[in-house]
Order: sequence, then C-alpha cells, then structure tokens
Amino acid sequence: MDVDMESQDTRDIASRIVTPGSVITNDTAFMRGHGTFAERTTIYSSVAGAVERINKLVSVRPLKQRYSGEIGDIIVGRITEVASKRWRVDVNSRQDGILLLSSINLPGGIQRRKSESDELQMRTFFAEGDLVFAEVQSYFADGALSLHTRSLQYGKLRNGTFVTVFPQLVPRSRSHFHTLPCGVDIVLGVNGYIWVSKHVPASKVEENSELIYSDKNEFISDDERETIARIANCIHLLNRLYVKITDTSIIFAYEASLTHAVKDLLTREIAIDLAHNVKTRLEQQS
Amino acid sequence: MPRPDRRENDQIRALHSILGLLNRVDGSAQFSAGSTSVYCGVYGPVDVKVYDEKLDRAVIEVKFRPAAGVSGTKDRWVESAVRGTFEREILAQMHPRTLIQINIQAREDDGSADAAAINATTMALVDAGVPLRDMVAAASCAVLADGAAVVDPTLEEAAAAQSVHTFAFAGSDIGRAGSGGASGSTSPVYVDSRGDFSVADYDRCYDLCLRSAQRVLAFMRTAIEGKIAKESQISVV
Repeated sequence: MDVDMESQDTRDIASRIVTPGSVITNDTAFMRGHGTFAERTTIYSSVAGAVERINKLVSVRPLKQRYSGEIGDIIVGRITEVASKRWRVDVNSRQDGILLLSSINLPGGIQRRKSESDELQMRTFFAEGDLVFAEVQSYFADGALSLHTRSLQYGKLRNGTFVTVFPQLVPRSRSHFHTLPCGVDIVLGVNGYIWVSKHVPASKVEENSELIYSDKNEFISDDERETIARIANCIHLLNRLYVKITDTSIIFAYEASLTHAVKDLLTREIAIDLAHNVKTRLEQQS
Repeated sequence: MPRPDRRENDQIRALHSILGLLNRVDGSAQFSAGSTSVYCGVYGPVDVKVYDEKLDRAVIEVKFRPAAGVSGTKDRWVESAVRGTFEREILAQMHPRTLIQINIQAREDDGSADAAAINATTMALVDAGVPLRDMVAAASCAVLADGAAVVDPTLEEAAAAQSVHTFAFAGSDIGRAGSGGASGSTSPVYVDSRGDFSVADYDRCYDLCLRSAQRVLAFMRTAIEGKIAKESQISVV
C-alpha cells in the first residue's frame, strides 16, 4: 500500500493518517522525527497515527504511547519498593522512577542534615503503595527518571481518590496543582496519574511539617466525598472521550454534570452529551 | 468438492477486530476469522529484570495461552513463531534495556490460530504505539486429500489435510507483490509447513496465502485508520 508521494504536493504530508511501514516521503529534504525511521532516502512511519510537520522535521504522533518523562515534569507516582537510600516509584513510564532519600524534604526543617537513622526509617516517610506528588529532577544514565519532592507543595498524597488517564491528554502547563471552586484539590500528573482530594489550605501544612508524611486522612464529610467522586467521574468521562484534561475542562465538565447524579455520569449517553458540552465550551473560549 | 462452510477455496472467513479492548495493558486487540478468535495484550516498553536485560535493545517476550486446558509444546511453538516474526519487525534498538511483553490468549480455536495470533499481535503492537518497521499479516492454507488447496482452513479441514502451511508477510512486501511484482520476489517473514507436500503444492499455497494476507492487511489498515480518524476527530487539541 505504498503511496507515491512524489506526485503529491509536499504540503499534503501533514495531517495524514499512517500505519507502521507506510512511506511518508521520498524527499531527502525532510528530517526524520519521532515515530519514523529512514531506510536509504525514504522516511517510513513506525507507529500508527497522524503525520505532523514542523518546517523540515516530519514526525508521527501516535494514538497512544507510554509516558516518557522530561526534566521539570510534574508527576504523580506510586511507591513500589523501598531500596537503599531510595524509593522506586511507578510513574507509568517505561522504567520505574527513582526518588532518592536526599531529594526529599525531611520533617523538621529543610536545613536538617540526613542521618543514618533517617535511612533506617525510610518507611515512615514513604511506604510501598503510597502516592507521591513529585517533579522530575534529572535522568539517570540508564534513562530512569530521578524525582524530587523538595518543595512544600510536593509530597505524600492523601484525603482523596486516584484516577488514571491517557498521558497525552494531560498537557504540560504552568501549574499542575489546582484548587477548584467546588472545594476540591486536583493534581494533574503529566504521566496520566491524577489525584483528586479534599481541599486542605497550604498554610495548615506549613504550620506543622510532621503533616507532610502523615498517613491519616482528615475528616471528609459526605458532601465532600460526593464532590470528589463527581470530579473523578468527570475526569473519567473526559478521558474516555479523548478530551484534553485541564483545570478548565474539568470545571466545565463539573458544571455541566450537576444536573445528573454522580453514579449516572459514566453511562454512555450522558458521558457523550457532557463531553460534547465541554468541547463546545472550550471551542467558544478559544 | 465444496467446503463444509460453502466457502470458495481462496476465500477467507469473515474478519472482525476490536482495538484497545483491554484497559490495563498498553495496547490490545481482538482478532477473529470466523469462529477462530484471539486476544492479544501488549505491555511495553516496561522495566526489565537485570538478568534478562539487553544493553542495546528491548527484550521481546511472548506468552500464548490456549482457549482451554494447560499450555503445552504446541503453544510454545506459537510463542517462538510470534517472537521470531516480531523480533525482526519491532524497532527494538529504540528502547534499550526495556521489555516488550506480548500476551496472547486464544478465545476459540477453529483452525489457523497461529495466523490469527500473528495478526492480533500486529494490531495490539500498533495500538500500544510500539515502533514497528512494518506491519505483518499472516494467512494459512491447507492441501486437502483430493489435492485442492484451501485458504484459512477450519480445524476440521486442517485435521483431514495432507499438509498445512502458514505464511506471514511484511506489509511493504505485500504492497510490492500487489503492484505487479513477480510473486517469487517477496520473501515471507515466517513460514510453517506441516505434512507431506511437493514443491508445486508449496508454491500454490504460497500464492494463495500471499493474496489472503493482502486482504488481511487491508482489513487491519482500515480498522486502525478508522480508529485514529474517529479519535482525532473527537479530541479537542
């Protein structure tokens, strides 16, 4: 199913859908980008997706692919293993991320020196199964991500629920921590992990640094639980219908969803209806 | 002699596929030809055990489970066939020190399950976004006792056949054959022949399978492109 591209205008290269092994172009003027490979002078696609062209760079954006981290990404991860001086963290990527003991804020002030006793009580900071909100600090030599939580806004996540979405639906933006007007905090990890929780004022954590590593939930009232569930379901439905997940789209979905019961949000008709509603509002806005 | 299900000798069974039906894996597909149906789920690229790790490329692991009972030697054979076929087609050097795990579960085996397994794997890998050199399409063919060659044999036909052949071809080779090249110029990426057969039988099956694989490939492309078109239309960019 080779397509003879030479007869076509080069403008046609972009916004075409290709499958692995399809010829993208025979023109040597182009450079190959992600999702492509070259043999002799021909550029082929290696994934199924839409062709994108930026000047002379041709790449294929796949339908979905595993998250690949970049330095500065804000992510949510789950601790999978406590190792010597480090935690292994599932970050939805091709390799586990690593959080070094030296890259976290120890309770009792930022300036405190690490001691051997800290190494022995690593599980009191993060244990297996805990969720962390962290930033990608650097790469290791083998490509694994090195994370850090050296800011008061990062750290252990509690008081809420966890939602997984396609990583490419969460765009990188200035802020990934949002307090929604409905009194819910959300952490949008660019790796596709999202945390929806009860709003806790930042000053409360600043006052008491022991709270950073607390495993105890605060009291969450029934109304708050319902709002958290509603937001979580809104994110699920946006994910299911491939709508970009940002604070704006979540707020739009939440507002549109108020006429329905939380448990009905994911039924097919309502989900499609709400997603279209969000889509039109987003288009109006831009 | 007419076939039990009244198909023509060069007619494959009705194809059906679903992409991305499993939600815990990175990519998945169901591929059915008639009542033969196979699920495939792909994890990858993921972390690999240090013992298995390869420094310059991804490790490819294949698991095949039969529809019923415990897996045996026959299933190991399908695993090695799928692994051999896709080690050539996956651009493994792009993901060094990782693992690409392919899990295949037969749902119902009514003949030609190995070809269905290869086709399902192609679709699942595409769904997972694993970089591929090319897509692979497979078809099988049986030579019956009366000398007739039939494509996509059912279990019943395969059991009574003199010989059964399965071929898999890369998409670009199929494209070249389709555009009028001599049929001998395409080389299959996988061949499995069982039973007694002559060279003439083999050549006949080769041609039939190549033509069937063409249809399978066109079907898979349509299914994948349809899904992408649908999803890129609905998403807000």
